[in-house]
Amino acid sequence: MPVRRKKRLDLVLPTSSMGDIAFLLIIFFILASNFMKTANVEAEKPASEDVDAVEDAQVSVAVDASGKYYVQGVEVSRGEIESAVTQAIGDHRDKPVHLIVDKSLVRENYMPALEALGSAGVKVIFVGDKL
Amino acid sequence: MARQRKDRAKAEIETGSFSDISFLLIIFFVLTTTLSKPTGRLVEIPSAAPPAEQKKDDDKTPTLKVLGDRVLFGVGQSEGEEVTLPALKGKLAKYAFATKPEKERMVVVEVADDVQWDRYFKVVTLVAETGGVVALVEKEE
Repeated sequence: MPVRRKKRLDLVLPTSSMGDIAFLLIIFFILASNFMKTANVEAEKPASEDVDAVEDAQVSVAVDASGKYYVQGVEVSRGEIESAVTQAIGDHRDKPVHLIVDKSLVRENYMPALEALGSAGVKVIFVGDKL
Repeated sequence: MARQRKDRAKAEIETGSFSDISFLLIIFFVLTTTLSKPTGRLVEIPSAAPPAEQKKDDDKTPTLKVLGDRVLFGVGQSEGEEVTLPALKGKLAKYAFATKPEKERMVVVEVADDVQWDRYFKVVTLVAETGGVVALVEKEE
């Protein structure tokens, strides 16, 4: 008597919806992402006991280790800081400006940025790490 | 004579690789997304006033002189005494800035030329933590 082989079930994983799921995830990440405007600036942050988690920045001002000034990641001259910040912040004046300065810089490097932000009349968050 | 129908070329877009592309994009976004919250301290900086004006009514204003690795705490025009940062926090806490209007929350911070941002940051965030408003002192040319 011939031995009958049992019919094997085809094990196929349905993958047609994977693309849809992936696109949904992409849309989520695009909407939820906040790209660092100062990623190109090399500045070692200082640390203090008196810092906490703060809200994300609308505008970032940075001073790198060589004393160059950046507003939203774009290099500006000392005299252009105030106008660049005012232009970048627009009508969102209630939003704070993040100030990132390399910890080794001395007064003549960081004070112009502070004075410009004071003159611009914006809220400033000193960005640093928690000790 | 029988008409022969031309074979129509099937117009289909190949979508098999879409999910691969999408997942590559997801990996890109996962790697470039900042998941950590930034840390810092909101510091109130009033627009700088000319030095002469700052000196008018600062008789009772707490004044900090940040000199290299030392901090001097004084009131008004006094020279000030050297304090450590924890001691400074205690002194400023006594002013109870949180209950006062902005004008009475001023803390004048004078900085020597060689003071690094690291030091200045620690002092200013400490002042802000106690509710003080940092008054910048412009250098007299």
